[in-house]
Amino acid sequence: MKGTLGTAASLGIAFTVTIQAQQAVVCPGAPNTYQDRRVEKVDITSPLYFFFAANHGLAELAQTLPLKRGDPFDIVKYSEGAGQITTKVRTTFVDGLSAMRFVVTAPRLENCTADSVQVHYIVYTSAFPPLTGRSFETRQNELQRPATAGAELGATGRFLFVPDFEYNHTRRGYGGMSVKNQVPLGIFDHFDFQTAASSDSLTGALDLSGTRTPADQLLNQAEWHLRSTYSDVPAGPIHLKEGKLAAGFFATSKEVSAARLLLHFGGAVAGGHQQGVAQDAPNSSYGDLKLVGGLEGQRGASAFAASYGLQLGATLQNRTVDFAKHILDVRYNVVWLQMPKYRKPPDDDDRPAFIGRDHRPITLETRLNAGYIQKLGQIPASERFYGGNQSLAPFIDGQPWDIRGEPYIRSIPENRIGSSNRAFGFGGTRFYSMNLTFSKAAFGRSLLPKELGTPDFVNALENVGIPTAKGELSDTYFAEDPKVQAASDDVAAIRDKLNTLKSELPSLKFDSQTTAQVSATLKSLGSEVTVAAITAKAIADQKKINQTPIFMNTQIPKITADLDKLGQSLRAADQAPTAAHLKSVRDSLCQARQDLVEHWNALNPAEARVRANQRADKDFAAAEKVLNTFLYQLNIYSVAPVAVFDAARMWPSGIGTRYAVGGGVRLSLVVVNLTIGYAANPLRRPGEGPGALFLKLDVTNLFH
Amino acid sequence: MPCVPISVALEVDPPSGDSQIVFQLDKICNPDDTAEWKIHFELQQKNAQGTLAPVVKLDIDINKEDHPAAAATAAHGLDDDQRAQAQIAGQTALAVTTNDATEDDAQTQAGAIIPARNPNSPSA
Repeated sequence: MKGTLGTAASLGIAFTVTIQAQQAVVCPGAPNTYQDRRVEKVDITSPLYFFFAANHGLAELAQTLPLKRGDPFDIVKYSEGAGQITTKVRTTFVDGLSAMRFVVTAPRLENCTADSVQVHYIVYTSAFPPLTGRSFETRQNELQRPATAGAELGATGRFLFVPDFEYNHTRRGYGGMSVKNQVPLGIFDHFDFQTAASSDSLTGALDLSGTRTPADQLLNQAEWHLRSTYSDVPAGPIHLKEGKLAAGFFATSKEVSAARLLLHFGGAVAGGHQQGVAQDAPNSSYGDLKLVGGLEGQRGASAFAASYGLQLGATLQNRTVDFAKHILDVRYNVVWLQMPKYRKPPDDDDRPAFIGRDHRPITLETRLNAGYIQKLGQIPASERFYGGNQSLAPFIDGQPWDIRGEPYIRSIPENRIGSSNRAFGFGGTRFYSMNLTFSKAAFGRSLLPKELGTPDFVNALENVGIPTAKGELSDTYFAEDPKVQAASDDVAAIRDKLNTLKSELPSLKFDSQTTAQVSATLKSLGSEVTVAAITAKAIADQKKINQTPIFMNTQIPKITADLDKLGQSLRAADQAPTAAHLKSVRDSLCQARQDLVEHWNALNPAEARVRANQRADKDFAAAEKVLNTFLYQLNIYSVAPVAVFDAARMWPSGIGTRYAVGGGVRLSLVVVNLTIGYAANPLRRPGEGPGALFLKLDVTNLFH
Repeated sequence: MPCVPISVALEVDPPSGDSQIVFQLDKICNPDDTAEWKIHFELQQKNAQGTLAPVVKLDIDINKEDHPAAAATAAHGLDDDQRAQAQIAGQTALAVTTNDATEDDAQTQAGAIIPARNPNSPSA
């Protein structure tokens, strides 16, 4: 299978890098003690994400660095090389989707001898999901597949091949792949083709999608899909076949309450053809309208989501609406993991010690689903409930959230609950299911290496980078505050005076002696007026209100001081009119500045800044949390025993509540995640097995 | 602690979707084991064509021994006043391209970024 080979190739690169890194002996001394030794080799590697670049881009980049093979070692060039690599990775490998990304280059000297050194730059990077409107799915992805959640987001800008393989008793082993790419096509900007097949099943989808961030309160993020799907899957002794074309729209709000809840909502219309059993509508056209809405939120290390879905379906024969389906999906996940205690000085800064430490999170995932179909006419077989251990059963194909439209129970194969008692026909019309998954990582290895666990790294990212970026965001919100915007009229009035003064300055001509005396002042005045006029324009026209304090407290006083100085230099009788004019300009500017200062202080900008900072803090909270997860929680590989318990019931079936009790193990290795387990079926029905194996292999971040 | 170089960059797209903030901090080690810091700060905003274009692009060299404000900046980032001054420096640099300001003006404004730090902001 091509995709699997691609996986193996990528992992091979990862292992190669790891082995190389392990074979190297890091030089024990301070870098400056190796000054002037011959540089034997310059390498750049990126052990975590840029596998493609490890083969190509980074090797070429190494040849452009200031320090080259054969040169005498120079610590300044060695340092500057790290910055050049960071800049190159940041600007070349552009990520079109993420809202936050960091790139770190950590150089080190290896295999030092008495006269030579080897230079090794290691690059780490990751992308983060959007700052707000970050969905429950992302959080769950981080919980379930911590080593890869960030990696998939980083894999944009080129074709992304994601092989997939799963197993369940109904479909047996089935595999396929997903091909994704960014393709600007009008309102669409992504393309996704998915297919999966086994000896008795075939599914496929072709999806064009577009995303935008309107950043409105109720429409923060939006995405739309045009999707064609085909499905032919067994359900007990029968096959359910369906081909549809659907158009869908999905959106997420900003936080809508003090509890920091997000609203998600969407809808889709679809039409096509379905084939099922000789029950109601065995072979018919089909169309439906689906609507979904819900709330999601995060608190500390927990996340929850609750959704309701409504489907109005028709076979396009005798009735406008043949059935109405109602779906309820509630999830709650929590992770327990030790985190740094540091908040701010004088606390001991324990953050560097957490980087590179093995992390052993304990996670609990819970889910409750229920569904009900109101029968008004015919219910096509493919739209009834079947349930089982299929890991994905989206209520709307292509939905950005995991809202299930089927009961989930891991001890019973896919589509078997609703097809196990033929006396009641095929497919249920009511169900509930409940799922618990508990896991604890037994061992693993931190995603970030211990060598990054330095005060410099933590300081650069958390104390300097985040506050500066957050401050810039705060400036934007500060400028939007209508209370402080009122000052822009005062600034505009001063801007007019400055423009007049700027146009007058070139006409000031003096005798040679005076010119010699005032030339420095005139030059300074010209520069100050120019810059102040530019600043005033930015404040008045572009609402850069945050520049007001510097404008009125630094720039204008410098101008009036220069005008004073210039006026005092003009003592000759014939210079009196010019001196008087300059004094009047100076007085006018002083008065205008005084008016601005009084007005500004009355507007209470400190309170506006507090409001802006609070908004910035709020917007950054999710991103900071993900950053903290990345720095202090994630493993490059981990092994986690998993315990599962499910309960589910479907009507009409003549069978009571079904259970699943079992366990397994979740292995995460760089980009490959494998969950394998067995769930026993304690209340077996005739013809049913003692349980079912559940297995899931997924791969992300494959480049070619 | 011997001086060990490192380079860290952070890119953030604010939720408004119309801008991008880039911040890069590089630690440069000298042969005498002292450290210098280089800050690269970039603010990009969407233009009329809908593509991100730099509005503020600054490279600042910080020698911790030079100025307490420089050390504080390397430890805590740019404060409100420094960011405002950075924007002014960016606007002035942009004005040079339209002959509304001189190279000297732009350099003077860029040099004023570190000293613009508010005395009430956190120190090193």
